[in-house]
Amino acid sequence: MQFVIAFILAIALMAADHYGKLMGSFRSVLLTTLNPIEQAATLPKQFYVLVTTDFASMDELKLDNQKLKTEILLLKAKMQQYTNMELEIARLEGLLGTTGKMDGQKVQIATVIFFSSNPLSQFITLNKGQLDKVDKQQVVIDEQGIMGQIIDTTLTTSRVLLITDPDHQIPVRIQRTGQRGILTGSGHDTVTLSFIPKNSSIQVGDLIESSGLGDVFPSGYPVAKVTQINEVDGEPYLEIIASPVANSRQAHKVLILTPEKKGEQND
Amino acid sequence: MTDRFINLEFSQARWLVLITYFLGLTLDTMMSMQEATLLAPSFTLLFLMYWSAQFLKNTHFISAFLLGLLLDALYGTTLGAHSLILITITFIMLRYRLLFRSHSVLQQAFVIIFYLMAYQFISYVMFSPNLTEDQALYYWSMPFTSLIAWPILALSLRWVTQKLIAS
Repeated sequence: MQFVIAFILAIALMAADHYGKLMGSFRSVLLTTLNPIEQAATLPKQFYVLVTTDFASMDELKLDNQKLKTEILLLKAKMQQYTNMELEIARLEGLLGTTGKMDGQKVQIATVIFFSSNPLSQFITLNKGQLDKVDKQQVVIDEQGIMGQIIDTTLTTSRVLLITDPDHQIPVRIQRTGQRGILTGSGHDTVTLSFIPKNSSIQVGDLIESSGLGDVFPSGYPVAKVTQINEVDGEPYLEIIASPVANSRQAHKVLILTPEKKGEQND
Repeated sequence: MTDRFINLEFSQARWLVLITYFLGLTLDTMMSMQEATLLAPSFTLLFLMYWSAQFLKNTHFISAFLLGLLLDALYGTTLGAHSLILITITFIMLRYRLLFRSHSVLQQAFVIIFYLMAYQFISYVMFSPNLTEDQALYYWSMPFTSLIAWPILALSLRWVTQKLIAS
């Protein structure tokens, strides 16, 4: 009898989670329960990092510091160029009367505290949650490009579904040609680009960027690079495999994007 | 000296059971961080199997249900899916646990292969993981790792429970 009750309850829960959105807060509770377990699971790695960091020589630290200072200098110089370019683009857009201007984004720095990579799901956990005003569907990027979007939040953490997860899809366009498609995760560190017809001029090495359609991902951020193009007989579309530009396996610090409201932009 | 189960009441080892479930979930979480560990068995399931065979007066369905929910949250799967799998496997274990207890640890390890194979098969049907050739090989080889994991786990827990009774 207990088996029948538990069995029915499990099926009812699956149906409620699949068809309804009522289970979001329940999942948050479960994720909060899992927080100490995730922290315990990362302890061996943290211990390893602590030990290896303590043994790093002073010279290495000085060298790293020097490198970082140089990088900051270079980035500042580039930033000046970008400011000029932004003004130039705004002027040209004004002349052309286009409205496709990229929305301003507020950013929040977060640290990756857990990384999961298995065929069932690919996600990372960040150390920012509801208390830091992080919400579902916010986009997460690293210095290379888009990593994924936030799917669950707890008070102090948030879970990011990576673009390589089989359940993840993102509307994109090929940067060189502007042709639009849908990028889907494959489950093992690659993504596939769908709906690109056979007569398309796509090439290996082409950069794929977010198209901004769907209003979840902002337009113009790099997502992946084309690595393989296959023609399948009898299929109208090409089979395109791409490699994500974001370094999800090594990333430690990431940025959470928050779309800036119109009123805030004018401040 | 026999290597089979010893008689113990659930109330005598409540904390030990909770600690082992925590350990099982932690080990599963550690394994989910690395792709190569598709070969590693589900430690939460192994602990659940052990305690299901150990405590004959309990059905363990509540434990199976709650652990399943936590595994769903861990893997990001539909809530209730892992609960359903664990409940089903626990049910099969409950039907044959007296026979299971009468086996030696090595014989139990061979039986556990079938339970883990059932776990992998139901997971495969429910979640349809997208596996490469290598990953598929690891995925379907996983149940055989119980030949190593089960004797270590069963003998360690037996030793700990013996100490618990003695203290």
